[in-house]
Amino acid sequence: MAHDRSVCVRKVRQWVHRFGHSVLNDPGNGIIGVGIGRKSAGSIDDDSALCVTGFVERKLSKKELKARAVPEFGAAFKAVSGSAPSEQDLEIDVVEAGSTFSATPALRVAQSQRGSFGGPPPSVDLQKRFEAIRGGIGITNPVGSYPEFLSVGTLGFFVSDAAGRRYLVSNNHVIANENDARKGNAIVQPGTLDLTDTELEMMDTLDRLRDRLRIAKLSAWVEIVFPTDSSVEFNEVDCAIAELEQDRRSIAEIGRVGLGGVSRGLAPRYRIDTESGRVRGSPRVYKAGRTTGWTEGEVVALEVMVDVEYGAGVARFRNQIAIRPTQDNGGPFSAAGDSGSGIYNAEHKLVALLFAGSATRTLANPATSVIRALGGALGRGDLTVAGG
Amino acid sequence: VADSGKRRARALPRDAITYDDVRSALRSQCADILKQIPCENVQLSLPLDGKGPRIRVSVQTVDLDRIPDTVEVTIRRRRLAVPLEAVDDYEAFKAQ
Repeated sequence: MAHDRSVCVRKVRQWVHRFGHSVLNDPGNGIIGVGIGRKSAGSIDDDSALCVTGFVERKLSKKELKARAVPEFGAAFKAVSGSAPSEQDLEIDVVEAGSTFSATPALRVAQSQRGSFGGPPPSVDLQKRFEAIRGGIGITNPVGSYPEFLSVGTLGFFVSDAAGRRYLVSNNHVIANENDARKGNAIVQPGTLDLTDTELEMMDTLDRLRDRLRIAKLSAWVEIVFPTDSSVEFNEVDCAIAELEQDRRSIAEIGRVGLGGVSRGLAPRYRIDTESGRVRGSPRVYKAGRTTGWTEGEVVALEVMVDVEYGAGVARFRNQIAIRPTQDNGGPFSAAGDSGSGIYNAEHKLVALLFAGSATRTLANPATSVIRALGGALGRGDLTVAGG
Repeated sequence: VADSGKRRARALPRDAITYDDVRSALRSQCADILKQIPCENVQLSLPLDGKGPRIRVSVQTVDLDRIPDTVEVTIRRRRLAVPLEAVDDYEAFKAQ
């Protein structure tokens, strides 16, 4: 079977390479492109027969072809290669392209037409259901709140323990509900706030939601310590970890960040150049998050001590990283729903875990602190960041 | 934006204070530092603007004049006066 398939691939490829340009050289046949495709005109990976695909601007009926004296693709095929597709044991198909193919810079219009071609700004949809999970996408812990309340945060990054078990990492307040969770709670993707009306109807109970969207189970978290009447303690991390469940989604892309970047493991803690008073290396950072997508920022302060407002109260943090958007970013570095995002440096190495923000700045836990704290909370030895 | 706040200008004493000293102070002695700053709404940080080792103290405008020039800390058995820079750019942070 495998042999038959490889023979077929070779025959189609040879035909396209040998005769494709001849097909295009005949303007009378209406063919604007020739390639290798599937009979289904769908994904090149599907199970339908491999075929020689001819692209046309618009598909015409046999009657229209005859009226315009345009040969069918089969005839054009025979004209350039000497015999019909069936005689060469090849399949053919015609696909409507909708227009001629043009290079992207063709979007050059008169000034009077300004505004007519803008369209929405390019963006990536990190709120949808992902078959291949990766950092930067929406997740939540719905236990105890769904369906009355809907929620979403961001899946930050992935780690593995010494035994090879894989985990996702996000904030405590995203997947451990500000200390109000139980080990084993289901983590679902996408977040329940991003479900459509139809999906909410289909998954109208927690059990149905878990059955369909569960990707991991909560393993451990670091408690967020809130002030008491007698003391105000410092927090250093807002993080939690959940073990990926077998065979729920593909883990082939866990080294990726959103739809574009890649993770190259853990960066060392920031060091300061004593001469310049700036961080060594680049202060530039990036993140992919459920709400604001891919954004660019720069580290403006280290060792930040700050009070942060949660649903359960105000918690005090120290040793945090402060980030503001770069001038080119054109918006905030983060917004509500981005919590849990992994933040990467210019070398694509993980530097921090996003957890809070103000009108102008974002706060993040140093990644080294997160990995150390989660390793302790989990109790399964050292953790390794995926992609390293 | 974080740099646009009103500052109280001070000559920053640079003798003997290093970035590592300020970092160590903020990492391990936040509680002691806060006790020396008579304000409720305070944020502390180590700015990375190349203008010298110091603790940046973000407060509301009304508290700007209540911030002392230095705080006393003990780093590696040395008693040091770490300079403070008061800036009225305090803003509330929320978990996102």
